[in-house]
Amino acid sequence: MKRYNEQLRTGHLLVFTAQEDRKDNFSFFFPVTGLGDLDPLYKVIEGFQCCHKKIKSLARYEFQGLAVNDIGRVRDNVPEIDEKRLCRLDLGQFIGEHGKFVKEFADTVITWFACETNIGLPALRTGSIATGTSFFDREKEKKLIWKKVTAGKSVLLQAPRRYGKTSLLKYIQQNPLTGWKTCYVDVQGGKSVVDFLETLVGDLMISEGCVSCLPPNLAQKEPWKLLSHEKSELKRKERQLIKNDWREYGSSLFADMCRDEIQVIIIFDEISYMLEDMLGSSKDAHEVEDLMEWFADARKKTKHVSFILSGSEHLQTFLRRHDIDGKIDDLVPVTLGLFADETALSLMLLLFIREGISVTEKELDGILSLMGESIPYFLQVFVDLLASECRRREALAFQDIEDLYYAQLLGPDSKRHFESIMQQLDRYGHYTRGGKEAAKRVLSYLATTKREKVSKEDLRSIWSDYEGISGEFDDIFDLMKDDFYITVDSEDHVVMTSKLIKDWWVKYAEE
Amino acid sequence: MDLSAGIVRFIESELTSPYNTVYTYERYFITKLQLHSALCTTTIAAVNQILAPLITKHSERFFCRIDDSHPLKSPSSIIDKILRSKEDAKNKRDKGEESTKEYDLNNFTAEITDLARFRVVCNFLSDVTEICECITQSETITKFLTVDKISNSIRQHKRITGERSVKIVLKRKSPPALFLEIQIMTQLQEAWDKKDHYLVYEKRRSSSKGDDDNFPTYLDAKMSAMAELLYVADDYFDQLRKEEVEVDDK
Repeated sequence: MKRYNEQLRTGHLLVFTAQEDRKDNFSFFFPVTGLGDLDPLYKVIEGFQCCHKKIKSLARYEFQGLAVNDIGRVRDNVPEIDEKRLCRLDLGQFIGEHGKFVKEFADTVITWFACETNIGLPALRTGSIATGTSFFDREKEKKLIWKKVTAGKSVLLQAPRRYGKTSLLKYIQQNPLTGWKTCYVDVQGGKSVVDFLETLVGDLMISEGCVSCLPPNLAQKEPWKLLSHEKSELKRKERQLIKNDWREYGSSLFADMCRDEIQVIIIFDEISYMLEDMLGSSKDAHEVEDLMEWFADARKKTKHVSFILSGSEHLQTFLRRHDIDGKIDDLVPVTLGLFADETALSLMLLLFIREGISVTEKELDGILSLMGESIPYFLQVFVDLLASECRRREALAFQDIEDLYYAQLLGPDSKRHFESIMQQLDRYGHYTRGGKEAAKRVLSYLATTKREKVSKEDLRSIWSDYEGISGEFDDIFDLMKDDFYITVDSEDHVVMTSKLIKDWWVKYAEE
Repeated sequence: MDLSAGIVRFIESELTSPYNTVYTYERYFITKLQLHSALCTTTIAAVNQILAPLITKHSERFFCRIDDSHPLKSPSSIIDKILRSKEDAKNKRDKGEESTKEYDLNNFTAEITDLARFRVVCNFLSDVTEICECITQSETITKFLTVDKISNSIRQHKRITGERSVKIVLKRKSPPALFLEIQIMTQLQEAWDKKDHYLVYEKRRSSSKGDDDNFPTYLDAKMSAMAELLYVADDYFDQLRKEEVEVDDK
């Protein structure tokens, strides 16, 4: 892994130009240092030419290679070049260990830039929501959600933490199909039905596109134009109305949504957290049950409006354990999985290119082997760490990658990245007295055991053995599955799917 | 650019589908010239390395620049060259003279010597000589390429047509053998070439008759005279520079 030499200005430009519109073009610049680069350069040109022929979406593009003396003056020779879709690459990374052309790398960069909406490369996102070009892939899930929504269904988007649910929902909000309006509502932090409705109205008020979803009296006030204190005042008044009779307020709000016959999607993010918090704060399941029942009824009555709710994979079972019928059977479940290995490799490659780092196929495979199943968030954290170190040292040897994984990614400086996971342990303590400590024991056992197979019953007995434990293991285990990436296979074998989380827990447990 | 009737005939009769139309024929040649293109890129990088210390040495003035605007011969020029080679060979045979080299679609990539080319444009005539020596003697080049031919029309005393320049033809050592041409000339000769390209070269190639007999010869004569005039100017500037250097040395 090494830093690109940004000083090199002479090289070969591979240009893909649309036959119908020459302004639609993208190109790759391979700097060269002399005649010693001729054979690898030719191999790369041939490889790209071959990809050009094979990738169907490239049929409208012509392919051409050009000698460029100074990339800074490329416009002199290629005036129509789209510099936003011009990418500097390193010749060496496209030639594998045995001198073979790395086709997968070429496919990745070509496919990425052939998409006109991809302006530039995805940027590192370690914590913030991945939006715009930085939102990567999830094509299957996007298509499925839109398919269901356009068929008049509502969706329950399920995934464990850090899988990128919010990024996907934000993408849908910002890139709706033609004719659709979207409103994004983050309900995390809400602890009551009043909070739920107030957050919804508040978010509808800030979005001009959702004016048709606001009650006429509010829409007339054009709240998105108001100053912040004016908006707060308006919200305060609405909160009072909600408090007076939330059912009537909510029903009237949802009934008004249908008046313009405009197709709308309302996205409720983090609904699981809200429900868990409602249960945690009031210890009363009735309010949750009332809300879910009323909301299910409202969904049925509301035409032209579809809903996307995001939550944990175990929302339904979690509610049932509290004797609550969530009445969410009308929601079509869409599960957001981990990135497939090929997707993770493609994303890492593009992130490193953006960071100006040349990385090889072997190094990317090495990174994946170290992390195991690639949780999008941690994948970005590790790439960020490696890119910073590589820029600082100019190059990293293969062994350095492993050393950085153990010493830095799992080290004290990265503690903040795992803090949100640790906070979940405190959450268990709030649900069940002794829950935090008992859960720690379960996790330590799961992370350190040498046994090939661990069953749920094994873990249950560890939980029960903890002195003073009172709560049900199943409740907390459902939460642990999401928070610690635990899966149970069909034979009831329990595993921590993320090697990274496992490694981190072992280190944490040692401390 | 308009294509001559001869070139259009060649495209339609010699190339196979889907390349046998005036809209698609270029793709055939572009695909065939990828290695030439790569050779051009890597040689430019090598020449840049050779020129860097010379540019530093002459940092008080403009020394030279690389012109990469036409790194590959255009497909229509290649066809033109193939057609001319056939015509020249036929003429020789008709006269009973030894036939010259004939190019065709099977051999053009390995035989035509200026498919890949670039220019080094210099300030003074003496710079041309200095650069030529450095390039042909540098191991950066000779490790990979052999100097096949040097055509130096700068100090020739006989009358020439066209710009006065040095053309170095380099041949790749390892297979497949292929050629590249480096043209080294002064700024004035480059200026002449650009005007000649527009006024004479392109017009002759696109002429509907496609032959020299119908081309106004006075234009050739005038352009040739201009090239010589500019050469005299270059020579004079070179003398002035040398005098300047001598004064500075004293």
